[in-house]
Amino acid sequence: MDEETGALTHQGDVSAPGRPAPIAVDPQQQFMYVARRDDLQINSYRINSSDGNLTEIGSIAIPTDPCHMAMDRTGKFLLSAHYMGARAMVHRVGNEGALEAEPADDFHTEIGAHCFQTDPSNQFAFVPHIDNRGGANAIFQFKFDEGSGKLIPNSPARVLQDKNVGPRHYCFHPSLDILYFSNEQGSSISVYDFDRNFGYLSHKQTVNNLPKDWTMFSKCSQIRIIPNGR
Amino acid sequence: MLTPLGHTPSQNFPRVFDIDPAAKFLLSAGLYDGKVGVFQISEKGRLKKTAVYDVGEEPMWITILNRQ
Repeated sequence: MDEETGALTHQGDVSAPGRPAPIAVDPQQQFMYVARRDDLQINSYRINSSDGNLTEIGSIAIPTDPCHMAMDRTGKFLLSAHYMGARAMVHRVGNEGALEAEPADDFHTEIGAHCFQTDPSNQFAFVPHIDNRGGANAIFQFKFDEGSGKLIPNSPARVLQDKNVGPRHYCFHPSLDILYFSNEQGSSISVYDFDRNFGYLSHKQTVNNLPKDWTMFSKCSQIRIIPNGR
Repeated sequence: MLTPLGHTPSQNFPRVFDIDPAAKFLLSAGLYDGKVGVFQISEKGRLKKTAVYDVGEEPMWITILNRQ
């Protein structure tokens, strides 16, 4: 990507059969992980820091297909959310970026699990569940043990939602204790205060995300925040 | 709190997008048209499409890394 113009140049392709979808990259950007959803595998790659090219390290088998992955804040664990698998999984990163095959945690939540990240302190985690095909339509709140990679349900364990909201993805404000969730069924964004001591979310605003007079099908997916938070 | 600024046409069914670490560009991938759009982000947070690329069928994810 040209830093000035944004123009893209195609450098090459890496074969990853089986509907490769979610990507996660560690904080040092040394390693990249890609889930091959139809093959029930997660591939690991080393990122060449000078040209961005990828070298495959290996792959592990997983029981269900993840729709979202992220690294924890230390880069020691890969976190994955499994929509129809109704689970949040944690895999430890072993030697040279390879994933350990045995999960550090395999926490059964409910159908609709769609995103899994830890907060900046790495002590808490959230797993939003959409409201479609039996989805739980709630944000599950967890404590995260960054030593073992285990999830512990927080109390309350769920932030319940109105019908047809369906929280899907989220992002953290870069400096304030605030999280923003995209709502798949609601076609909206919800703003939550984040209690950094206890890991709770408190809803403070929901804004519709559609143009006026929009009548076609809609749903919300990705959400990102500008690095300066504006 | 959020205030809506506006809307910009994107690719067909923009399932994923990402913002570059310098916050100058947004890349948006169209699941149904196999295209990635490059959008310039203005100081006021508005988007302006500057280029569109064919990237193959059903782009499912897009991640921009820092330049090192």
